Amino acid sequence: MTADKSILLEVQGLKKYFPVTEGLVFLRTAGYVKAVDDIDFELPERQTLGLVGESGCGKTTTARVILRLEEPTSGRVCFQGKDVSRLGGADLRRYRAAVHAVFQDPTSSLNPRMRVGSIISEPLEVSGKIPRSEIKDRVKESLDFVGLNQDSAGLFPHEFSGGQRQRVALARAFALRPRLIVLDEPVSSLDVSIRAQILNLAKDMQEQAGISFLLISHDLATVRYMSHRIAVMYLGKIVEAGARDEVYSHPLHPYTSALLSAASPLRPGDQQKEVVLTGEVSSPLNPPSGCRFHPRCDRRMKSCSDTEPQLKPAGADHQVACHLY
Amino acid sequence: MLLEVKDLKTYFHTRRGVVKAVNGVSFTLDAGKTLGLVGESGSGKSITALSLLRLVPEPAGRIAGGEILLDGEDLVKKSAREMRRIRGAKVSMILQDSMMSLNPVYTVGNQVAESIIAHQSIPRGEVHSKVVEMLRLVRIPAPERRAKQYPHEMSGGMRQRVSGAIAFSCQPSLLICDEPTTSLDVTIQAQYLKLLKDIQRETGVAVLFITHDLGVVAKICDDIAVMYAGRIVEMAPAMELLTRPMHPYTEALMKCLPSLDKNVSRLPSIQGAPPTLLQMPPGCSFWPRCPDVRPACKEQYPPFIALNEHHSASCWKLS
Repeated sequence: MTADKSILLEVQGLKKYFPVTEGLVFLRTAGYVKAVDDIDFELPERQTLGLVGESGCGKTTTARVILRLEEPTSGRVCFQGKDVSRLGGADLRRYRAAVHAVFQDPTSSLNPRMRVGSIISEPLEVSGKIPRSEIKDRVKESLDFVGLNQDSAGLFPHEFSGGQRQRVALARAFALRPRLIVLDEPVSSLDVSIRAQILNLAKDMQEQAGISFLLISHDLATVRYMSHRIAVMYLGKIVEAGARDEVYSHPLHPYTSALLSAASPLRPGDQQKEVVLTGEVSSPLNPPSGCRFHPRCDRRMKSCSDTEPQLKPAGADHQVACHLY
Repeated sequence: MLLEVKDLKTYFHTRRGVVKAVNGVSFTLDAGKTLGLVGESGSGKSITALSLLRLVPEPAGRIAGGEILLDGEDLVKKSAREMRRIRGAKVSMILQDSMMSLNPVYTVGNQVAESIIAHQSIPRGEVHSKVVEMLRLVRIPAPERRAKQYPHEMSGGMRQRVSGAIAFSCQPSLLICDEPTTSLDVTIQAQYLKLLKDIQRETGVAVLFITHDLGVVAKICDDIAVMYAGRIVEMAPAMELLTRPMHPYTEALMKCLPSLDKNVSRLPSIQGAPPTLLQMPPGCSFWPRCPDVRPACKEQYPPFIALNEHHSASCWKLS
């Protein structure tokens, strides 16, 4: 990381375990689902970090901990140098105003009984940062920015198409001029022809307002388009991380290569060597010993099932957790 | 030729008017081949599939015209009773969400057995071994044990394989897959597509593959038909369509997808949204979003123009 880029968000040794209980009356903890198991990353100002992985790899849990919807089991999330889980009172309110989220399905993330105008103004009112008299202008400005006309403020979410609803969700996140927006699969539920519109809109926000994004997605092409840096997760661990071009042009971890190959090259010229993984993602309740990916890996060695590889530097701005390197 | 669909029209009668969900769709499919039907939500691709099985929700919807010729027999004219014998035996289907299409209170083996018992006259004692054989065909490890499990005991990929086992249990000649891999993870999706390809090679089944994902289509299909607002707007062999799209919609769709191997600073996007089927624009249904509109586009729907033997598209700019 270059020194002139200040770090907005820093995650250190983050763990989130969910207890699994047994029994009906006398509950006892039978084990833990290690949803996120010791991950570190940094997100500089005005940049996008793409967090990639399959369902169950812990990417959404990571986002929820950052949004403080979950408390971490251990480890720290630092925002502008302050530990997020220790914030309280006015500091916490300031944090909530600075960090927003846009979720996959706008139908469930927008209140069906509220008009779009109130949906966007609610966070403005709650924050207490904006004088009442200015709220209306802010709503107008936000609607304008996401390309919805002013009459939309009086309509309900069901009167919009999926793409427009996602615009409303973006307008709400943008209204307070946050420092960070967590985008959790923002275009997965949208039609292909609408996706580019929403992605471009998010890019414009970043350029004009200097917002950082944490983009969570399973779609490697979307992540490539949006991100400056990417981190690949597998079963609660980051297996590979680095600058975007590094990771896409020289994927090191066998899992990253498999993901890239599985991600359906669209243009025939893009055709790469096909790696089809065998087996399924192991259960996070009982992860395999050693490297968590070894039961599915086509290049496994003896040491893979014994010792867990650590995330180590492999080239400029590129880290990988694999015994091959 | 196994399947020939001619000018199929499926309409829904609603209080606000007639919705022409499928508005004159024609295509053909040979045995052993895969045709990809690509389109956005509301383009009519799923209703086309339901029409082939005569499962359009009635009485609101009905097949208003056209022919569906399977081995030369018109399915539109079949009685409900005859259709029951065809569904699951000659034509079967795999749906998107296996959690919804499998019954949660029966074991997986039971559900595979159901379609075998319904369509084949084999002795009861042999049903179980047939079930195990089907589960083995879709590469389910330890099929004897798995047959006794319930759907919730399996992962999404495994459940989708069970749907496959049910679909293949009567050696259908046509398999309709409606977004079978959309709910699966990318690496599991790749596995599933490979499995479908392998089984197709072994059995020679024809596959109608419905999806919104052009990447999946590129992997599995021989031919591709692109649907927009109830009509097929372009049809060509997969390679040709993906490298030389002729219809402005297909072209724009290809361009607005982010690339996996190139850095793009800004994606071109298609303006606006697909039309509501109740308020279709006059003329070509794509013109309000088209970058290359001509006066004729706003007046009359363009004819299907053949560019060569296999490639055709309906657009005025090609005439």
